[in-house]
Amino acid sequence: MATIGRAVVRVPKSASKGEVVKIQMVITHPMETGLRKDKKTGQLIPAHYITKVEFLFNGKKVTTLHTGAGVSKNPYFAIKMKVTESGTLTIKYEDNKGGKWEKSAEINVS
Amino acid sequence: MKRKAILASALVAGGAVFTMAMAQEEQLPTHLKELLELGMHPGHAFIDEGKDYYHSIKGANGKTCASCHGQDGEKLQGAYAKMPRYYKDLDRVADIDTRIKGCMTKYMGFDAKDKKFKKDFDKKWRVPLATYVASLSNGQAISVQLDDPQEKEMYKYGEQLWYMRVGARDFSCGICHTVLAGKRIRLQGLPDPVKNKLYTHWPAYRFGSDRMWTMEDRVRSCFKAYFLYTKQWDEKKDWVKKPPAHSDWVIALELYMKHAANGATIEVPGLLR
Repeated sequence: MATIGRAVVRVPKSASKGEVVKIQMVITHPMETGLRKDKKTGQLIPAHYITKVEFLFNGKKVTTLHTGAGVSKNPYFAIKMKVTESGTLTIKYEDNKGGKWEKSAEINVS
Repeated sequence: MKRKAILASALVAGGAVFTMAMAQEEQLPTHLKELLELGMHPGHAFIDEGKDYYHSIKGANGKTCASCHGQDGEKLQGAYAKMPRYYKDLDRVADIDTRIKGCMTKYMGFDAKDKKFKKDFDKKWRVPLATYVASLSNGQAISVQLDDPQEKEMYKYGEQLWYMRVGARDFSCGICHTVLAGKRIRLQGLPDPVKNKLYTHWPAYRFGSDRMWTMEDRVRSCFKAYFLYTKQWDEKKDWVKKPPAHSDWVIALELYMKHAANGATIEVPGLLR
């Protein structure tokens, strides 16, 4: 089991101005719904899922995803974004137990 | 005579249609195809994590993996393509899991009997490290050579185990994956890892159970799930058991399958249902 909250972000190495690029990410997270029972003890496993994923480009908000317990384990997210300048893409995400993480990637526009 | 010829040609045409249908059936299910086209899946998070462990885990000797094998695994490129093979320092044929454990206990100063190390290794380190090391050989062809007498012996043992029927269901690997290969169990097609060189995508991420698995996990789990092995292990007395991790039994099967896949290109991490 990989560490909770670890993410991999993939952006194109270079893009031309005005191009629509694809940004992909995978977050390692158990995404417990809170409805499952532990097979050994019979107790409910407490809910633990990502509630919000925020995409920022150069400090400016691109989009926000409000996710819930219905999303699969180790979820994959992808967005398409138009780039006009080089900069840093920052992705902030948090879960319902108070975990907060950040991940960033550089995009070079020529 | 003419009629016979027509009949024969009809039969041939029928056969062609039939084989075409078979070929189409063997294609990937569409959802799996879509996932592969995305170009990224949770398996890549394990490579990332393995890379961190490669540089950060320190044994009692103060050594990390990077201090012997070079930054970013320089000296390990292509190593996975030759595994499992005979290692002089371990004095046995080892696959990737066994090799990593051997390195950790022998050179990094971990105690093999330490409970904390055992737990950490099995639950945390083994799979990410194995995935990372395997991914360094991406794009290279598998080339398992049987130069050493121990390797040859192991290969023979593996071939024997492949067809050996064991357990409460009296099953062997070969029944599903050689004799019935190409047919289906419920909705799943049965692949032939020996003929079709299917070793290329291991370790793989399985999105059915949302777990990353090495081949060792896969083989052992097969023995538990399909062969109905019990909890005690004595291959002569009691046939019904899950083979212990890093045992010759598991490694022999791995060697047999991987040798059969010689020449195929490695693509790690794989994605399976």
